[in-house]
Amino acid sequence: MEKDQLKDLENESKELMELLKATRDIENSALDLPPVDAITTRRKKSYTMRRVSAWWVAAALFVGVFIGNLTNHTPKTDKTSNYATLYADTCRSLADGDVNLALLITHL
Amino acid sequence: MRLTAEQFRTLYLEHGRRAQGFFMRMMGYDIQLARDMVQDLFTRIWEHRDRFKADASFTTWMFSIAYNMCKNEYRHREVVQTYQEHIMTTTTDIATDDTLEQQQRRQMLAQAINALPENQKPLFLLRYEEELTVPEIARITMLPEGTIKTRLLTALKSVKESMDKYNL
Repeated sequence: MEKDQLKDLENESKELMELLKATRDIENSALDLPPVDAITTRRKKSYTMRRVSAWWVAAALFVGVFIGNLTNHTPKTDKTSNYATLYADTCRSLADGDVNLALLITHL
Repeated sequence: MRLTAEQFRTLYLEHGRRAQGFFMRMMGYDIQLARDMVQDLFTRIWEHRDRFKADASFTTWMFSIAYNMCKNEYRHREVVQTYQEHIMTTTTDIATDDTLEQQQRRQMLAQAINALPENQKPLFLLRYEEELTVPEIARITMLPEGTIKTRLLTALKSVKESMDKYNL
């Protein structure tokens, strides 16, 4: 039913169909297509960045936990000069899953 | 089958402009957005080049991704609101070789298509601008063919009435 109605209407709209195709061709031909190299190289860059970032975060956490094991475990929030301890405590919290964002921001 | 860089380049040159035009019309003639989206579309195709099946239609695969990108984009922004400012500048800029009447006809047509509801517009563009069949559109949109035909009928009537109203 709908198919027949649709077919009929499409047949009645030949002029409109021609206009649609002509408009499409004119509009498409005026478009500025990005260079293909921008596409094939984009992924590699972003992947490399993600991989480097992940390695740096992992390394920083490892160093922090390592330092933390060598120092006093009690957070010394009143002694801001002891950055190594504060950094280690924060990293240990992150590694333990006990993330205190306020503490992290304060330390950073 | 994994697409080689050379095959990808050929497909991009063959279909890229078509996809960009589809994005432009779907996004209310926002040329810059269409350019970004076509780049994003082909980046996804490049990333998923292992999934390409030699016996399947590249056009259907490409428009499936493009259609979903448009749906996501529609969720994030009010395309209709920005339409008017783009359509007036874009269609006028493109129509440098046309007569005033032809320009006017095209502007009216673009406005009539853009005024279609969100669930009819992509179907209309895929059927009448990209010239895909109803079964192909069903595969792209995952909608039943009957639903597509009903929506296409309503959309076509609406566009035709708009054009008849202005005697264009």
